[in-house]
Order: sequence, then C-alpha cells, then structure tokens
Amino acid sequence: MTGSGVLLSVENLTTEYRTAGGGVPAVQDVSFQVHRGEIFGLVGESGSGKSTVIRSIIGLLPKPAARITRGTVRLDGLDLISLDPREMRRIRGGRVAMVFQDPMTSLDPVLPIGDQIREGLRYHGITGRAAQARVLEVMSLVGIPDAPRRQRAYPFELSGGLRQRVAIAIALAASPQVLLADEPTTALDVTIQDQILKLLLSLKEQLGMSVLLVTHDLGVVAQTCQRVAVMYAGRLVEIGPVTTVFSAPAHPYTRGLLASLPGLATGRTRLRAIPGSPPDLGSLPSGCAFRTRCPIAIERCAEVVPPLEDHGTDHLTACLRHQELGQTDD
Amino acid sequence: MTEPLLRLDHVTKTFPIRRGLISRPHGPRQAVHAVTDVSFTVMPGETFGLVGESGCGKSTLARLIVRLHRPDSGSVWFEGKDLAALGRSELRGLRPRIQMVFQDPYSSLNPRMSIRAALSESLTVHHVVPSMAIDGEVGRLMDQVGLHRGLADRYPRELSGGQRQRVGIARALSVRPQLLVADEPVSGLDVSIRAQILDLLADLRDELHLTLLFISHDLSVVEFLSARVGVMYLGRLVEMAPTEDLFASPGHPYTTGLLAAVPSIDPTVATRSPAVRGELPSPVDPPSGCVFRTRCPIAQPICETLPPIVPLSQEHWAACHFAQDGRREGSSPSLARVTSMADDTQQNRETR
Repeated sequence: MTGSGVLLSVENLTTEYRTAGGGVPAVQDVSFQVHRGEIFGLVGESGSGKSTVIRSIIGLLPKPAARITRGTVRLDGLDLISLDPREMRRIRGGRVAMVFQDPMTSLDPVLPIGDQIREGLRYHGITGRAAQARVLEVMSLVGIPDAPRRQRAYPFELSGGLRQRVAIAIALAASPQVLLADEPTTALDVTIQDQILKLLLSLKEQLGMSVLLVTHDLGVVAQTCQRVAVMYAGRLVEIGPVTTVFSAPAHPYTRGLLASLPGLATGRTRLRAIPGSPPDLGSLPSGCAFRTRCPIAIERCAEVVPPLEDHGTDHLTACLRHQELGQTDD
Repeated sequence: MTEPLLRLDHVTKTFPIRRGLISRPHGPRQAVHAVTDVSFTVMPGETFGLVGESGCGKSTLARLIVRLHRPDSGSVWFEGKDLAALGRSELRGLRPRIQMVFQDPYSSLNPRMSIRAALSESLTVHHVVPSMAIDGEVGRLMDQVGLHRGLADRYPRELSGGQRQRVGIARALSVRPQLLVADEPVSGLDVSIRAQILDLLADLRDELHLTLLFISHDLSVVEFLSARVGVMYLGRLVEMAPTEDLFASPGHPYTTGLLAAVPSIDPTVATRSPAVRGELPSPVDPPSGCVFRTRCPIAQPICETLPPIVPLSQEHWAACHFAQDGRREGSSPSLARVTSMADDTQQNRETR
C-alpha cells in the first residue's frame, strides 16, 4: 500500500434519518480506514448509504432530519464529529475537501470561476497576490487550459468536464489532506469520465493526498482505487484490496454485482442478475439484509447480523457462508 | 435476401436556434446539426445497437425513426414505406408497429394513471383486443415483463425504477409492435436492476421475434444485446460492424478511444493517460471534413476533407481516411499509432 498509516478513520458510524415512522438507519455500524496517499473506493447502489457516510464525515448531514447516533470519525487523530460548527467549517474545504456529482449545482452560476476558487482561499487565509498565483496554479494543475483568460469564465460557458475540473480546483485550492469525491464522474460522458479519473490519479501521485471515492460504478473503482468497501442497505458487506475483491469476491452481493455487468467481449447471452430489489431501509429484513436476494442464504442468516470478519490479506467480509461461496462457482 | 424492416437513407436533421428574446432575421442563420447524412438498415428480427456519447444525435435519430421528428433531407423507410410520405390516418395505423421505450419511465408514464389504466389505454386506443378481454390482456402483459399482477392498481410513484421501466416496456409491447426502439432504457437504473431489465429485453426479443433498435451510451450494454452496432459521433455514423468485429478490431479512431475509455472491471488493466483528449465540439459549428479530427490522435491535413466510407470486412466499415482495408491482424499501423499517441497525451493538453 502506498503512504504510511491511517489518515481518516471511521469507526462504528451509525447515522439515522428521522421520519414520521421513527428513525430510519441509513448507515449502520460502518468502520473503515483511508490510508495516506491512497484512493479508497466506497461502492454501492442507490440508497445503500454511501453518500450519507460522506456527509457524516464532513458534517453536511441535513439538519435536523439526520443525525449521527454512534461512532467516531478521526482525521489524523482529530475527532471530527465532536467539533463545533465553526471549527468544522475550518476543516471543511481546508484539510478535508469535497467534490460532488453535478458541478452545475455545486458551482455558483453568477460568479466567474477564478473568483470561486479565490473565495475558498480567502476563507483559509490566503489573499491578494498569493491567492491569484494559487488560482492559476490549481487551474493548470487540474488541466484547465489558458487559465489567465479562463478564470473570468462563468460555469455556464464551460462544458461538463471543465466544470468538474473547476470543482476539483476549488477543492484542491487549500491543499487538503483528503478529498471526498461523491460520484464525481457519474454525470459525465465516458471519454470525459476517463479524463477526470486519470486526473484524480495523477493528482493523488503529485500531491500525495488521499481520496475517498464514492461511486456506483465498479469499473471506476477497479481503475482508480487501491482498496474498496462494498455497501449494501446501510452496512459494509466487504472490504479489501481492489485486486482481491474483484478477482475473488467474498460476499454474495459483491459477486452478484460483478456478475450483473455485461462486460465487454464476454459473449454472455444472459446476465445473472441479482433477483429482487434492495430492501426498504425502514423495514430491513432481520439478520443479514441481503439474505432475501441471496442465492446461498440459510435460516441462520435471518437470526444474526453477520460481523465483518477478516480472513487474511486485509480482506473482510460480512457473510456467514463466505466459505461456501468460495467453493461454488456460480 | 429479405427486405429490411427499417431503412434510413441519408437522413439529416438540424434544429434552428434563435439567440436571445428577439430573433435577428438578418443575422446568420444558426442551427444545431443533430443528425447528418446517416444511412443504415435493420433486418426483421435483428437487434441493431447505436452507441455514442451525449450530443452525438442518437436520440434525435430515435425520434426520427418513430416519426416524432421529420428529417430535413433523406428518408426513413419502414416496411418499404417512406414515413415522411404517410398521411395522418396511415401514420395512425403505423404507430403501433413502431414503439419506443424511453430512458426515464417516470416522465413517460402518466403519474395519475395506475398501471392497469396505462396499459388498458393503449389496448383500447389501438383496438388490440376486444374490450371484454382487456383485463386478461393487462395481466398477461404484466406476467410477460415480470411484474406481479398485484401491482396493477399501483401508480408510477409507488413503483421502483426497475418496475417502472417494466411498465414502460409492457406498454410498448401492448400494441404488438414489429420494431421496438429503446432509447437508453437502462441508463437510470442501478447495476443489479439494469441486469434484470437487460435480461428481460433479451428474453422478450427472442420470444416475440422483435426487431430491436437499441440506443445507449454504454458500450457494454450495447454489446450485450446487439448483433450489429453503429457508432455515432457529432451527428454522424462513423463506424458500423457486426458486434464481435467492432469490439475485436475497431476501425475508427473514435471507436478505439471510446473502447479504451470504458473503465474495465479488471484492476490489472490500467492505463495512465486518457483515451480521448479534448471535448466535444459544438454541434452548431461542427468541424469540416471528419468531425472527429479535432480530438483524433492521428489526424492529418487530409482530414479536413470528408472521409470516405472504407469497407473493412463483411458488413464492417469505418468513415476514416486512415481506416485499413482488409483483415487486420491486430497490427494495423494507423491504430497502433492511435494507441501509442494516446499514451503520450497529457491530460492538460485540452483543445477547445
């Protein structure tokens, strides 16, 4: 693994949304670590809770609808959850930055992009000539050509790909230790997605920063991340190095997801889709939430929530029957 | 050989644009060149895939085929009839034979109609079955697309995305079409649900001997369903091939780049540089000659002229000055160069 040691540590994170019918657990007992200088992937389908994890980390949960009921988030030892809002604002956009899915909604439509990058810098105490130099520096870092002229452009004048580069430039301006990227390429075309992913990879190398990449796209994870956590119905079901998880998935959900991909040049005539659809978070099945769709579920799966257990080589899975999974080839 | 079910003959469609609130009648007329000179045929029972990124004109093409638009020039032939020449009543008779499945069933279904009402409506309007048989037919359609009959009285908002798309497909099938035009039917869906819908489309096509025109930005999805594929870029068809050929030996540099840009789920296959540099030019003012030349790694001055259609093998052609004729052994000089030059490309070398 690149870098040394843990930078961001999430322990037993549990986040609930309040609804008329009581608390709905969006995230339950989630623990993982992002190492220095690594791109860590958090993958799951819609409603799995992956965006709630990111919002819990950075203190951007909708209030008062959502709250963290348990767990800790530590950045380099600093407990982020216990920070007061003023301290959190200094961390956010400073040591921890964020890039969202749709740059058109995260950028200010009536402010030139250069000013938007500068705005973040001012907040973190960089002004005047130093700020201007930094604006041009980060713009060229993220591959926006002709920065001195382009800094006066408004978001609507830019393509989707360039807008996402601007969003990344804003995130990078204050030299964050960790970048939280929530589906950063989902709204982009595949050739532009490819450019942005390669940009993230080269930024990670150049700046040594860590990235927590949230996505639904397994291909994106395979091409950019060193380690990955798979989320289903609010819980992590598998964590491990990308090479291991993708070649030998140890949870039936991960295995099903990989089998659901058409994949280029595989010549399959049917996909072995996972039956059914994800459960309603308000009325989760007892025990393992995946058991209602799982091809190898047994009665015991309804009785206990399987713990995430390590079986060597940093590969963890939350499945009572993971050993059986390794043997069956379906 | 049988007659093609669908034939597009040099179809071109532009959309005029007006700037500002007051149009300038004396200013230069500007238009979005959505589809330019597209020709292809689809045989009965065949699944033809159209792939391209946003703005390539694939959805406009779908709308031209179901005659939601008329072409500016060129023609669309269905069962030997020119769609543009059909009168109102002939067109009405034709509507049920060509049906469309849209990307977002939430916006294509009436939110105030239950599933039963939505399916009954098309059955009634087109007199598919006698009115007393409608309920039975609704049930049969729901079985066919894998929807539980108990959902018949639900409304679209009460269904999941996958279920809504099943309703969209059932409604298209209700009038027993020959040709199903599916425009990004799985794009809004989660991976596991997408796989279910793709399997369903494959099953239905085989059971009902449907002809399917399948449109998507996702190469893997197109490959899964289609026997032949056309690749579109900026309004033009740049390559056409039987599916296997296209993926094994792409003939156009855009296809090569597009294939390389898809993130592989094999983490050991990693590349450092972007497969295609730069961004899509404006469809208002597309490049002269080859439309891909502004982003093409092997472009030469000659590319400012319109590229020829180069036949590569049986039913495989590419519109490129440097497409190679004959059987390729994986060592075509032009494409080898595409790959090596793509490796040299810096991500900040954007051309715009």
